[in-house]
Order: sequence, then structure tokens, then C-alpha cells
Amino acid sequence: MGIFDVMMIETRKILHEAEAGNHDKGDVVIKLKPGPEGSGIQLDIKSKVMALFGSQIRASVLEEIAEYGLTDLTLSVRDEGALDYAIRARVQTAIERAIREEQ
Amino acid sequence: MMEQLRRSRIYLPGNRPRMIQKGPGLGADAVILDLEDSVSPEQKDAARFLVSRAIKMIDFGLSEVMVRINPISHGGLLDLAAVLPSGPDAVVVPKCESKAEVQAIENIIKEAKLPKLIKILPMIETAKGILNAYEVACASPMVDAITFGGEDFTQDIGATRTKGGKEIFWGRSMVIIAAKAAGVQALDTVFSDLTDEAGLRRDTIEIKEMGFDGRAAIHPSQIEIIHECFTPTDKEMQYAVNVLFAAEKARKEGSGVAVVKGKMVDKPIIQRAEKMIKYAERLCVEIPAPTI
Repeated sequence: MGIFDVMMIETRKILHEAEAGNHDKGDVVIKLKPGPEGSGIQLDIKSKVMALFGSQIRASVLEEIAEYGLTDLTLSVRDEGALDYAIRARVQTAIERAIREEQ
Repeated sequence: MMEQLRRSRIYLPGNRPRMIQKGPGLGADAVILDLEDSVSPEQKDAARFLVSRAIKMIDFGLSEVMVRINPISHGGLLDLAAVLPSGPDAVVVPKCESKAEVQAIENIIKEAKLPKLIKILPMIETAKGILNAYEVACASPMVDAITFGGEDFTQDIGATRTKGGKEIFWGRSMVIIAAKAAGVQALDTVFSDLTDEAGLRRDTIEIKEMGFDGRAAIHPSQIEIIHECFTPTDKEMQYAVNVLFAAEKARKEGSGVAVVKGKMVDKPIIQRAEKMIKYAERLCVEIPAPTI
């Protein structure tokens, strides 16, 4: 197996709570929790730029969740003015942390 | 192929979005998105994802985009797996000590089958690295520069870091000689004292005179000073133009010897003058008319 296969995701189930990001300007904090089966995706988004970019933030978060095929979870977003790439990266980090067994 | 301009390379912490986003406006010849020293061990995963996305989504303009990975034995493989598919311009390899390390990274880059050429910039920052600098510089066609890391080197040899830099003089010299023998660029370490602009200027002029092609910066305020130091002065430009004029005149007259200000100008001086004029043209510096 080559190192580029490391990126293959073996499990797509939220195993535990996870968090990513910081409350610094230009960053975002993502908190992720597993939800009961059949509860769907519950999003709680707070952003200083909610009126302008709220729907875009929501779309980006949902796209990242969809990449992993996750269904039942609660995800909160506390945005400090992060750009789209940073929001996506933080969501990805939180998911990766949540789907791996805790050390 | 034209040599990459690398007067300045600025380090940007790989887990700080706001600092990464400043990269395009800094005017540095290269930005180094850092996954190593500026990222705490528990945030390495977050930084990998952030840097990978940043490379894909941020336009860094004319700045070359480099990623400093962790040592291969300490997460470097995960760094490469995460960032290579995003297509950085170069991978900076810390504490590089052998040809084998460079070749291992070369193989990984080849395995990624990327649609662009990626350069490897090994950092020479240990005593063993210094002694093997030439083999590292020659290890792969992907290496087109080696860089000196003064802080780690000082620690590795048990010396004390001083403003004068006597403790790193020999290491710097070795990196320059190894790089030039291998036909690659020699790039120098950072100047750590952010408050000492005069010291940065003095040190940068000194390393340029030693033969370095550029140096690293740790703060945006250092970039302009570094660029100024690596730009030929009016006096240097005038001399170079006069040398080339005298050489051409001597050639036309069938004379083997050109003279400028009473001093003989030989082949190495002419080559240096040609190199300086080409370099000045790349920097859009005005070329003066000959005065002889």
C-alpha cells in the first residue's frame, strides 16, 4: 500500500465528539457530536457574517459532511470570519478526529 | 530553464488561516507554509488539511509556494500524503542528512504522479548534514537549492548563537560550496532579531557577498530589506556594464585583454558581470549606459 492510500477512509461513523479550529480572527471552531440513529444532520451556525455568507457556510459544511457519507450528527460552527477553504479544512479535521478511535 | 528567484522566503505557520491568507500580499519570492516547528504536535493533522486546502484555493501570485514538512520519521509521510495532491511548488525537508532521505522523498513525489514538477529543498541544519551537504545537493534532479538552518545547527553543535555569527560561518560556507559544486542555489537561514533592522541589513549583505542566493524571513517587515540587499547597487551595476563594454571592445579590437579603471578584466569577472546584468533585468532594475 502506498502512502497515498493512507487517505482512504475505512470507517464513516462518528465514534465520539471532536473539535477543530480556534477562536482567532479569520478562523472557525467546529464541534461535532454523534447523533441518535435517524436524527439526521443538525447544524448550528453562528457567524459575524451570517447575513452575507450564512447560506454559503452552510452549503460548504454540508458538502464536507457529504464527502464522508455521514448521516446522524450534530455540528456547531462558531465562525470568526474564516474563508471558505479554512471552514472546509476545519470541518474535515473535526470529522477525521471524530471517526478515528481515540488513542 | 530560468533559475527561480529566491531572494526571500517567508515562513507562515501552517495552522493559522489569517497568516496564511496574508501570504499573497507580502511580496516575498516564496512563502513557506510550515507544518514543522510552528505547529504543535496535537495540531499537525489540522495544519495538514488547512495547508492542503490553502494551496488549492489561494492564489499566491508570483510567490513560489513551498511546504516545510516534518522529518520523515516524525509525520513527514503523512504531510506529503496530505499536501502533494494539492500541488505545492516545492517541499522543504528539515534536518536533512543524507542522499537516501532525499531519494525517499523523490520516490514519494514520483508515486504521486502529479501533473507538475515539484522541487525538493533540503535543509542542512545539523553537523552530519553539513558533512553530507554535497551528497544531499546532488541526490536528485528535483533538488534545485539547499538551505542552511542556523538555529538548529547551532544547537546541534553545542554552540552559542551570536550576532556576529562566527559559530555558523563554517556551516554557511560549507552549504555554499556544496550547493555551487552541485549546481544548485544556496539559501541562508533566518535573522531572528525582528527589532534589529540594521543587523538584518548587515548580515544579509554579508551572506550575499559570501555567495548565498537568498535567505529566509520570519516577519513581513524583513522582506523588503532582504530584497534591497539582494538588488545590485548602482555602483555594482555601473561596474558590470563597464566590464561588459570593455570586454566587447577588446574582442572587436582582437585584443585578449580588457581593462577597466586600470585593472585587467578576465573571464570570471566578465561572467560575474553578465550574471549580474541578467539578474538585474529580472528584477527590472534600470541598466545604466557605460561610462568608459
